Amino acid sequence: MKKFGLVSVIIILLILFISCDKVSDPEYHIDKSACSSCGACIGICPQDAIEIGKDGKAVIDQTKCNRCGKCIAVCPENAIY
Amino acid sequence: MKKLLILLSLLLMVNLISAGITNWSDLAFQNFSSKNNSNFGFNWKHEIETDLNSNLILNFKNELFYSQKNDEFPADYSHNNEMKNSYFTNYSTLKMLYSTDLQYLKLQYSNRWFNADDTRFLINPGIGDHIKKNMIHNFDLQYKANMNKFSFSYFGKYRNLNYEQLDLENEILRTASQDDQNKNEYDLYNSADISYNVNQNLKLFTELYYKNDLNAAGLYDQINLGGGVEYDNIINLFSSISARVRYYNNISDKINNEQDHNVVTQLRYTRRFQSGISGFVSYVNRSCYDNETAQVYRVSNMLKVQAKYSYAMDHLNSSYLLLGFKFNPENDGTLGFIEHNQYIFKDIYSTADIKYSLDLFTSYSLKCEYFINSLQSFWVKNEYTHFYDIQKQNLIFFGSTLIF
Repeated sequence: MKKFGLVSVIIILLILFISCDKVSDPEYHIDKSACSSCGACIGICPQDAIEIGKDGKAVIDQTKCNRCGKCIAVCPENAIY
Repeated sequence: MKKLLILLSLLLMVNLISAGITNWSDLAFQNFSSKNNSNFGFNWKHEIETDLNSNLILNFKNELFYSQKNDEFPADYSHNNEMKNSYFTNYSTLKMLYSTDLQYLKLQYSNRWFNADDTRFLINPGIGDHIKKNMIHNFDLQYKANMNKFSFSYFGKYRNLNYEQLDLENEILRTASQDDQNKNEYDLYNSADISYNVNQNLKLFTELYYKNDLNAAGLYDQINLGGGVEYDNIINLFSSISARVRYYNNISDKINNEQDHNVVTQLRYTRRFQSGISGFVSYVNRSCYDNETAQVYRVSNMLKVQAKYSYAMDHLNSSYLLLGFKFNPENDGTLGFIEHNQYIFKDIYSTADIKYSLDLFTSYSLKCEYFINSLQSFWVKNEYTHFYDIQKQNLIFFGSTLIF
């Protein structure tokens, strides 16, 4: 019963989150649990907006990023979302 | 070519004088082909680490990449889908780590060098169009401390980009003056957080991120101030659950007002079965609240499901089948993936993987690896990627991984 309640809350939250309007300017972030620090995103970024951060994983400087999405295509770990 | 030989000689010297220290070396020769063009290149990663004493570690890492540059590409060829914007680069990092039970200190210097003739033009929004990177210097300082139930951490990065500025004149790019060949841009990144462990599962934290654009205009400053709650629970030997909810206020002239107030929610459930099957489900949501319209917007959602079946075929016990799916509708990141690693015979393994993305690409790769022992191997790999509506590319690698 407890598990069922938890799963229901998560599903309701998911539906609420997904049903909101999309923000007008998309923003990309790195899933640090998946990033392998290979640097492919740094190599492709045309805005010089990605650098290695404190935990050795890539970080996107949101003030420089122009949301072109090239980093998504080259990331071998599918870590950009 | 002369510079390349000097770099290779330096790396070999470092390799020879570092006998007795832990070395990790990965050398791969590659052939890139796309639309009847073919380029040869190589990538050499080398890492050296030594323990100066029980608390102090010194680490040096170098990555050298070189690729032939072929300018005779068809008119509709897009360089943007090559995994690089420079054909000749070197990345070095020197770091010192000091750690005790209660403290951690990292000092790091890193340097990215670009051969200007083999580097494509970039746009840097803080500088303008048509720049060529020469060198990036990064100075990092990281400090963490634990005091009873409190912990504190600070990270600072001072970044210097040295670049060449070009002007567009009658559709031809020219370096305007001698000064334009050697220009600099400076950024300072700071972040700090304090957390309080309520109990062994629950943690409260507050954090500050401050980016200071040190150039004259200073237009690219950013401040994030926020906090949240983190929950980690190892339920039993086979399953664990974690959750993190974080709010932050975003202050920057360069970020849309819609994204002033942000909430990031992360959930993860990991499960392992005795039959060799393990997997996880993770979900990340980024939402923001706009004061003006009093409306909640979704920035990004990512749902990831992954299952791995490991089966014993040999002494290394490394054969597995991995299946996964990532759902990320906002940023065209939805894809499915399969990876299969299989012991063949006599320390030879094969790895095959397929990635199918709904919006961006489909890729296949096949790797065959021969292990001399568990730390040293030679391998050959083929990677084929079809970027939808743009082009196809094929990469063949011959490489070795050596730890000694």
